[in-house]
Amino acid sequence: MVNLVTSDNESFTVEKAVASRSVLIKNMLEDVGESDQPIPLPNVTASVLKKVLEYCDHHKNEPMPTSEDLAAEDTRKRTTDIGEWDQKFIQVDQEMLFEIILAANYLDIKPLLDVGCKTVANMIKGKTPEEIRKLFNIVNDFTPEEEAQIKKENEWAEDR
Amino acid sequence: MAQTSMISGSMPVQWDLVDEANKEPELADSRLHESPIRPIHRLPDEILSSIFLFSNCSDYAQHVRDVLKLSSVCRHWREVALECPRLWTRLQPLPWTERFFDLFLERSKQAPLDVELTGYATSTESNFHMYFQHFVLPQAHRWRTCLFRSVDATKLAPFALNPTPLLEALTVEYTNARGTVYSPRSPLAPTYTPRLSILVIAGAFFPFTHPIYTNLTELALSFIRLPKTESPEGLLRALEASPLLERLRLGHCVFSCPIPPDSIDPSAFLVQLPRLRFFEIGPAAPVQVSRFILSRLAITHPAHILLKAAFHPGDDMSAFLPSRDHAQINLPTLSSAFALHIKVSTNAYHVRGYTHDHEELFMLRLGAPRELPNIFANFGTILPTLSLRSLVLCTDGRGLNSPAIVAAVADLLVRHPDITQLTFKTCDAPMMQILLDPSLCPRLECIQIERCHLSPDELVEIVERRARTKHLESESELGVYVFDSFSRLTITGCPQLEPILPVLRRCGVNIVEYEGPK
Repeated sequence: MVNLVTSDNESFTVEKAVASRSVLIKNMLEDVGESDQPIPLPNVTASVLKKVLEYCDHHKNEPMPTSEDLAAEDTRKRTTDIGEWDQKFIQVDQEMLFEIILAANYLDIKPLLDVGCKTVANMIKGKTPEEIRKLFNIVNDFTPEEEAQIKKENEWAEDR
Repeated sequence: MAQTSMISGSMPVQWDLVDEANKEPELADSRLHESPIRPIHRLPDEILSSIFLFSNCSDYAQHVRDVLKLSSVCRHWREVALECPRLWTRLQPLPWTERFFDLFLERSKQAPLDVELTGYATSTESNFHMYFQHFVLPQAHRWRTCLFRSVDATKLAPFALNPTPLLEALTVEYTNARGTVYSPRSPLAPTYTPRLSILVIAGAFFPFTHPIYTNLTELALSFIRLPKTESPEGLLRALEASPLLERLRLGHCVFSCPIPPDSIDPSAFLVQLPRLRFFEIGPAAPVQVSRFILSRLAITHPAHILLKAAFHPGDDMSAFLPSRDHAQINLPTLSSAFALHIKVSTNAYHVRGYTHDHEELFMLRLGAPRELPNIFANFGTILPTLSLRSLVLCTDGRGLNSPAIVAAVADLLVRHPDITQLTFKTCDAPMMQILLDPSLCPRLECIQIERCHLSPDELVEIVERRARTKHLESESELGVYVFDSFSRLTITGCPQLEPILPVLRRCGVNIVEYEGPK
């Protein structure tokens, strides 16, 4: 078993196979060897780690992506298809969604990071810039002149 | 006086106006939506880039609109989008997208390109030539993936191709939806492709001696009528140059060179493809091509195999399958089926082999006359089925009851005494009556009947016979027929059998399940 300690000082004891879905933790375990020492995760809160561990537990028996898989991904077109379980898993509020993405990035869990990024990509699809701004509370910080120039640049692509 | 600088490509920026704008949030409507918590702003740029890359739409026109929109949301997103060259690497000619080629080429910087040239998408011949000459060919050194589809090869012929050192995937499809087998055309042949791993060719052909068949992980050849100079032996040599092949598809390949039926030399070299996960072959001509190639392959990994063949009366699977010994040693996928599903439809037999965990191992699609009992004779003889425990027989609803077919299925069951589960779907009574023979399936545990034309009396007779034999065995201790495991009967979509369920239960079957029409 592996003991993980979150930024808000909560401890999680999980199977090694579950914790090792994180390449960061897997490498730490390999470097340190067998040890009872807790592993601090200063960038992850308990509520987020709980969710991340739920994902890791569900996928613990799947093969880890190899560097060859990652290379092949580049050659084939990227799709935003998400598995059924993953879709339900990632149905969380925006705040938690971005926290999961950040945690997956920090913990180096590529499949979870992809699920998060695909979910955001799917949220963006088909929306206008204004709708995207509303969705994510983004400020339009272009000057009117810049906006006019961008509009001119893109006008050929609109309504076709 | 306004200070001017450059952001986001070539757009001049007046920094004093930006400062002003920062103080006056009413500059744009969306600024009203600003809140202190904007979690998306916490994402590092590389993750935002990754999200943008996942926004890749299969419809190219929509893709162009999407990436332009992403770069129009705010300054930060524009900066990230413009600093992500891969976002701008897809090039495909549509009449209006040609306006964006310069923009995309500029923003893709030196990133490898994904080029698609689809004949029917180009509006006019002049568009095609303009696109091809000015945007596609000069960038050959940057191609990462390249797809030529439905393009008239004669129009490409005059062009010489520069080296393509970054090319990873090449697709050349000179075919049409009707599946015509073309005589091969020679597409532009890349001379230097050190990184090529995926090669898909339809209706076109590179000679098997071409270095392009080297270190591939995926190869698909289809709709090709090969010249006499190209033999299956040449194809095997090409495969030998790609030992890391993971996917191989040889569909609708017609060889013109003669292949004598006894041309398979047992001492000939075997092509080892230990990493192959998927292999499709056929329909090939002549039919012996499949047998020739399969007899020379060693696919020890449990690959998914898909075989298609056209049969003629009198043929059996020996026409296209290798020897039983070869299959058992070198093609374990074909010899380790736990379950077989055999479906007979008007012009074809579909045979699927499954593992114990219901994963499909292989699928044979045998285009054949409806009544071809020889096919059943091959299971266990030519095609090893040592592990077979479950058999599903399914027809297209028009019966599977000719005496020859019934006898062939009975023979198949005799050769597989370890079968524990039998399923009949849309079968007629004569087929199921083979179970009246107590020498068949002595270890049968379960019978499933789905939408079958069977009278209540006929089913009662079958069940009583199996159950009685069980009773007799326990009393006489003859032990010849071991029916003590038969305990489950499932009936689906046979309303005529519903009234006799109590009778069946009294026959000693522990579990009788009934479901209405499916």
